[in-house]
Formats: sequence, structure tokens, C-alpha cells
Amino acid sequence: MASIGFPIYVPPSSRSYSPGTFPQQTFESQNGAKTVLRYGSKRVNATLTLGFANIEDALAVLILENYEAVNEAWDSVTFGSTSGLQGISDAKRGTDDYGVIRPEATNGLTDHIQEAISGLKWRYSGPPKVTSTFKGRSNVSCSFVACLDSP
Amino acid sequence: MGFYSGRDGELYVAGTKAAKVQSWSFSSSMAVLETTSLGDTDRTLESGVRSYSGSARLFYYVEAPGSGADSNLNTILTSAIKTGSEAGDGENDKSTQVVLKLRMITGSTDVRDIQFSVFITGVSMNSAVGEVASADISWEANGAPFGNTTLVN
Repeated sequence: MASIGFPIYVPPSSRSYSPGTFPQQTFESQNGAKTVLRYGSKRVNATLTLGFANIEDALAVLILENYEAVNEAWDSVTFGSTSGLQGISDAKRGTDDYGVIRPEATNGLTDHIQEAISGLKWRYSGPPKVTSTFKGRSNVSCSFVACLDSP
Repeated sequence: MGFYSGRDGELYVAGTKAAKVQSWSFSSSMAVLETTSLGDTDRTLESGVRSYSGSARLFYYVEAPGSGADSNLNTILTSAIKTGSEAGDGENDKSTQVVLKLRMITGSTDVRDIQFSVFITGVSMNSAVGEVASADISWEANGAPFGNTTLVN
């Protein structure tokens, strides 16, 4: 299994990311006390949705071809600053809103969404949706889920 | 003298000059496609679909009243209004298109036209004491202006 880059220079017009959850199960007794069984210490099922508004049809084709290339061999997708993650500021805060100094974050938002440090791998959670809007232009929506591959 | 006024305006309906036209107007608009993407600081656009609509006001006029002759609004009204065969008849002919040509003309050589095939989308007629009966019509064009479109020059 290899990683295939998402097409570059196809800038999204919207992006939505959720870091996912930790695998656990909660049991709540009749008196309201909760017992949590933790099955792992790593997040799973992070989600990423990218929307591309009114892009050229030729760029929509690149996304469709990427979907096929990734799924033919059960590869994963990677994103870079010119492919899916455009527009993210990687600034790190060293102080909070009240000027209190705190340890500087070691990773920017790009690092988080790329899931490079978590070990999660992005895969398409469904086929891209292409909606034609005008001659030569389309809206494309892609959704991804980040999975923790078994060793 | 390069100005034009209402005196220079004419309206042709299906190739025939309409009588007693009080005013005409048309407007053009275009929907834009937004192509702004994440990271941009300014809105970017792509051209979209154009549309044309307009309106006119005509006095209701019959050249020879009592002769059974059609009014000057006959073509417009019959393209928009289709009569039924009996009261309550809900299944009748569809409204049809009509060609409207809006013209500015001064002298015999300076003729400026714009022509549309349109659907009449609104007719409002009135009759009131102390007023000449008139009709306001509104229309939307089917497709782009066609033919001799010299008004845009």
C-alpha cells in the first residue's frame, strides 16, 4: 500500500475537518455512573470534506482519476499545501488571548489535518460527487475518512 | 446631435411596427459563478448565464373601431393568452413566443435595433375614468438577441 497525492493546484473552496474519536464504549448504570472501556489510545475515523466550486471540468477529471487510482490498489491519499490544504495558516500560538505564555504548539493546523503525526491514513469514504453548473464548469465534493491500518 | 429620446423609439411586434407605444425598456443581466478558493483574499468570478427581460407600455388602440379590426395589442395578447373552449377549461394551448424588435431611429439612415424572441410573462391592462386605456407588458427573452443587433454598437 502506497500513498497517492491528491491532485495539485485544484484549490478547494470549502473544507471541513473532524479529528475523529477514540475507540471506546460507555456503559451507563441505572444510577448514572459511567464506565468507559477504552480499546485504544489513538484517534480513528477522522473525517475531511473538500468542496470545489465551479472548477474547470478538466480539474474535475483529475479528481475522478485520483479516486480511481487510490481505490484500485487500496492506497491512501495525501494532501499538501497546494492540494487540498491550500489556505491554511500554520501559525502557532505562544500566548493565549490574555497574554499568558504557554508552551508553543509544535504542530500547525496543516500537520493535524494531514494526519502525518497520528499515523492515520486518508481514504475516500465515498465516490466524489460531480455537479455540472455551467458549460465547462462543475462543483465537486469529496469526502475522506482517516483510518488506522492494522500492522 | 447624438442623443435619442422617446420620439426616436419604436417597437416592432412580429415584424410589424406597433402603434401607440408609450415606452419600452429592456435589461440584461448575468449570473456569475464564484470561483473563490481557500487562500484567496479577493472574490474571483467566472461568467455565467446571461438573461434578458423587458417591458413596454402601449395604449390600447384600434385603427378603425367598429370594423372588427384587431387592436395594436393583438399579437402580444394572443401569444400570451390562450382561450379555452368552455368555462373551466384547464387544458389549452401553451403560450407562444413572439419576436420583439426594439428600435432607435433618427432620419432614414441611423437605425439601431435589438431583437429578441420572447415569452410575454405579464400583461396588465387598465380602464379608468379620465385615462386612456393602456397595457403594461413584461417579457423574458428566449436565448440571446439575434439578427441585426445594431443597438449595441
